[in-house]
Amino acid sequence: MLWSSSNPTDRILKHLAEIGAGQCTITDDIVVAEPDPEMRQVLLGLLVLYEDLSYASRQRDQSDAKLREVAEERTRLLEDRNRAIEARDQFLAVAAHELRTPIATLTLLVDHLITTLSRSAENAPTDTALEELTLLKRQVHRLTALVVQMLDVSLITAGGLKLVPSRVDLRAVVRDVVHRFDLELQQRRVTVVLDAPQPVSGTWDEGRVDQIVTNLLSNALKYGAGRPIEISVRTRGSQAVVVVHDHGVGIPADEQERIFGPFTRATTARYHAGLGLGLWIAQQIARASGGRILVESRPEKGSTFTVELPL
Amino acid sequence: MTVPTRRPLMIIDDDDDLRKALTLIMSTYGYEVAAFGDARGALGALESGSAPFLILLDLMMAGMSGWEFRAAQLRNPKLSGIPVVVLTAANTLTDGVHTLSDVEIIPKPFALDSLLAVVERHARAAG
Repeated sequence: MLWSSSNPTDRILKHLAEIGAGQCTITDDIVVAEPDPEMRQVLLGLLVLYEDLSYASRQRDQSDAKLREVAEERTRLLEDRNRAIEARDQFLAVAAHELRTPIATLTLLVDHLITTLSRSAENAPTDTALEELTLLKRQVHRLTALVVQMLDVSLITAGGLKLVPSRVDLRAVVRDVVHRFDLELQQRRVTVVLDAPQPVSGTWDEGRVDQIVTNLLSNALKYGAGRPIEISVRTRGSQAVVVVHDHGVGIPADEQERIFGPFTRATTARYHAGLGLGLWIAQQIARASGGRILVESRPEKGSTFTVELPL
Repeated sequence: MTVPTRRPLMIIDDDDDLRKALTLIMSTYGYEVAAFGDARGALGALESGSAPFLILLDLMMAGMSGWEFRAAQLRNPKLSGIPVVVLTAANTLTDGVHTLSDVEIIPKPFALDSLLAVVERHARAAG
């Protein structure tokens, strides 16, 4: 060993400890003045190590600062987003509320006009007038349905759905819903094949379950391309299962998750009327009932919506 | 249809159009209607002797609200027995509608048939 210092190991360890603590007493002058060439190499190596380490540490500090900035920006964006959602929900609640009274007035007057005119012998309306009134009534019903959807959204976002469960026969509910669509099915020449061999009893909120089935059948009719719709009601294990199957436009795979979100619709549904809330509401009802709605679909082959409710 | 009671139907709603529509329609069904756009006026009429067989009550009204009206009605033993049906655009679960005791609630909008059925049931009971 050619160390000029009496204890080179101690000296190296001392410098290493310094470097570990984030400082270094080795300077270029000390390196140059070092008489022992091996020690000079070691000191130079240590100096380079120290400089590398402090450079890395500076980089880390900088990137930490950058990360903090990004995180703050993200928090700000999230806050903005939450405020926007809050404003939207508040607007929905207020709008839905304000719309209810004029719609109530409209509903009453239209109902009354139709009843009075169709009963009165002397003031018998012309066929056209009655047809117009019936159209008017349908528009009022559409408005009502939209407002009720908006109200449901504000209900859900304001603290969840409150369900009123009772003993319900799911098959009877589905039959009722299909029956309610009779006229529309006839007009569009669409057949519904109902496969429900047994009553399926459970404890659910009847009105809300009706709403789920109504939504799914209405979608099947809307996007079913006029082809037959198949509905089945059965039990599977500890679950009641309603399947609504259409042979229509279908939903692309990458959009199947998204269609259950609020204010969203599949691209294949772009040109159809509606707020894009129905499936979201239906899914919220299913979840609040302890169940769920699943979808399987292929574009141009149709969609299958499966509602599972606990028995 | 003949109305089974000669007592009036009281309507309290501060929406002019809805109140007018309800009054017109209920009158054609033979009901005598006492309509009020403010709850305080309605309460005054009740206190001075009007005895309707049913009160159709709106909740969210300027001045005296439907809740305040109901509370005042219940405080007066002469009036507390008059049945009340609430017609409301309020959110029945979140706007405190459930805090009202012993009233039927019909959320707006409602079909004429369902309103008529409720009114007729009360008219028969008052017979």
